[in-house]
Amino acid sequence: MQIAKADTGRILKLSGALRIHVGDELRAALLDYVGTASKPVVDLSEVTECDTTGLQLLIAASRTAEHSGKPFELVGVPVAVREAGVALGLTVTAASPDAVPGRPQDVLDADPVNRGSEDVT
Amino acid sequence: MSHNPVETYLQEADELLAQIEHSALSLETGTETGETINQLFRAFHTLKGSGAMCGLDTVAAFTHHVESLLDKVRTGAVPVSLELSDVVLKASDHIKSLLGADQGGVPAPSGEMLIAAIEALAASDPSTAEPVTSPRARPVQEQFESADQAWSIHFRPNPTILTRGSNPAALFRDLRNLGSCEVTAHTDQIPGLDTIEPDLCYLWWTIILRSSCGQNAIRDVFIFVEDDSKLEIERAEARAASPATLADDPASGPGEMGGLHETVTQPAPASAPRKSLAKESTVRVPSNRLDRLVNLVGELVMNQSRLAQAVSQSGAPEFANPVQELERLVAELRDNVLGIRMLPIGTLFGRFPRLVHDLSAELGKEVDLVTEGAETELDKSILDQLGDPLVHCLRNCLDHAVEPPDERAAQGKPRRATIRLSAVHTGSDVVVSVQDDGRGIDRVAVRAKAVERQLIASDASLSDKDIFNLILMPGFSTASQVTSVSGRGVGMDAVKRQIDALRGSLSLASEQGKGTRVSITLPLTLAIIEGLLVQIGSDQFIVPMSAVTENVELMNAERARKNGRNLIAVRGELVPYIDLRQTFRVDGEAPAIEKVVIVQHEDHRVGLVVDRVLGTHQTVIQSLGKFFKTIDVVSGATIMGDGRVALIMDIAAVVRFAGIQAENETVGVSR
Repeated sequence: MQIAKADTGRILKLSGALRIHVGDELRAALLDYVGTASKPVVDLSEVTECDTTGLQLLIAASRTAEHSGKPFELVGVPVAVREAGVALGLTVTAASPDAVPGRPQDVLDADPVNRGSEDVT
Repeated sequence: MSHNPVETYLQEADELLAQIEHSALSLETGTETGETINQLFRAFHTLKGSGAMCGLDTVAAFTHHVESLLDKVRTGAVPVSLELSDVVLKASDHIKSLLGADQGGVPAPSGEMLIAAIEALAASDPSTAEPVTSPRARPVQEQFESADQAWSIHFRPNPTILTRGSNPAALFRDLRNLGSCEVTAHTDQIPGLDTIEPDLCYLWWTIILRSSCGQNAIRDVFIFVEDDSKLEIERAEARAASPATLADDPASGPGEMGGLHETVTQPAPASAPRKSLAKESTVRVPSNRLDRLVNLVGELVMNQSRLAQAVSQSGAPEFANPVQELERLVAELRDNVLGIRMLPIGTLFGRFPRLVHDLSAELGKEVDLVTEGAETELDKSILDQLGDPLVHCLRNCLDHAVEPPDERAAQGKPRRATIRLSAVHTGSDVVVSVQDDGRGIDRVAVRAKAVERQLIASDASLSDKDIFNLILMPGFSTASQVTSVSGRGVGMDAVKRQIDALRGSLSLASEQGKGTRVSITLPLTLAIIEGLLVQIGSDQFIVPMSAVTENVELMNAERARKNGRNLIAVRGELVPYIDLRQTFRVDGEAPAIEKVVIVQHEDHRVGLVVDRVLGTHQTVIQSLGKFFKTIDVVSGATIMGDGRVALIMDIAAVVRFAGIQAENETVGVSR
């Protein structure tokens, strides 16, 4: 797994496999990022795999942001992540703090470039 | 030390076969649940798999047939029936003989006929099967509808499920193979990033599955995670709510769905708790290692005693505290080690349902075996030797005491007899009882047989207890027929001898037409006992404290003779006494004031006259060795603190010996 900042540090870009073996590293990176960013955005476009641990950490990140009163977005959700979610009964979408993971919804691919036209629920 | 997997397999096979027997018997009596078939399947499956791994291919190959049959029972293709129970019991016996043959024992019989019977049953038409007709039979709750059924599954895994390599996604994939599946994850338990532990699973799920499979197939999906997780499978209405109407508020609890819920989840059967490897924290220890540990503790006890005596004699004050502390530690070590040897008598009781089942069938009787006090603990060495006497008692009970069903019905008794096998602690003893509601002991027949064998005079006046004790004499039997079960008059005599060898006692009580009770009283342990140290002349003896009730003094002038028996008045009661100096032919004169140790022997008290009572003594029992095996008045010896040997008295044998001695002296026979 690789972790990088993009767009002058505004976006946290995750690459590779988000699995249990990188759980501690991923948690620490998300905690640091959500704590410092005013509007955290996590880019998953180069994530190749995701398991239960990875999905739980993403949900935890959205929850932490919500508790801090910050909006939280996932962008570039790839097929691998969506399918991992579906397999576990989760629908992964470009989520705002108002959305609740697990509620059946239409899946949207969020394109960072066209973010303004995203249909966020 | 190398670990032998075959030995481990054999130990586990023993446990699995006992479990199989228990489950198969419950099939016959109709007390099985749906889980019983699953347990049987898993047991045979494990026997097969582990046997193959250990190279026991014959066992694995045979067991495969039984596993296939039980798989068909699980799916409803073959119903539960008496024939199934019979085949499973026979299969269990055959596996035992295969394992025994594999270990160099008697060659096992050919299993061809049994395999043919198994295959015939597996291929049988369900409509022709002989059903279980016991009035207590409950239908096995196997749901095998051909039409699709909606199931509601609530799965809350153990949080460590992920670290054990289990993948919930894989479970749901397997569920999807059974039918259409709507999986809803609940995220309410997921904390924020500051407190989340990445390794743990915080998700839980509710699933609606539409499938034609049964509950067992669903449960099989979770077979490797079920023990540590909360799993509920319920039948949901076919028109169960669509996902959109599910309460997907993360704060909601599970199971909030519309429609009727008929709970078909099987409660865990109380009689057969499922073992969870994760929860077990026991260690298997070979018996000989435990015996060695007990011996070492025994040596420690004796040497501690010698040290204490030496320190006491030396009068050195600086050793007093350490020696006292050592005594406390050794006593605690002794109690702990002896405690390790204690096993619940239920491990022995578990053998008997099968015995009663088989013997009842052989004798054409209908019997229920009820066990109580299975958790009562006894020393392993006593348990090992208690099995045969109890088997004898049960055989006698089934053969002589229990009437055939028609005879019972004619007397207004229930057709099914009840044999109650119980164990209870009483002080430092355990009382094991075998009680039946049969015809009772026929006092007239027993008395007549005793007169015929010239054991008693025809006009002898005997109490009920004396008559019952005649049954315990060698060769005594009122049975007109010797059956393969009993009737040779060997059983009860052998039982009495075996119980005496365990320093126990046996008593009978009976009421004609109502039933009989055989009570066996046993000490808790054979290895180390509390003893009363006594002295006669220059010799020391140990009287087991468990038998001692009190000590009194006996002045030479107070001795009285009555009807040829020595008697002493103890608080208004005349108690007969045995002069041990005379019995054991100890040289020298008795002191002017002697001590009488009053002991309990069966139902009455007896006094043992000794020179001095020296006090209590932790007695580590050492065997006398094979040359002294025939001396029954002494059950063993112990080594005292000064290195001398004290003999441990066997109270029952001493009383018997003294009685015979007195008889011979009365008729002028010198011994």
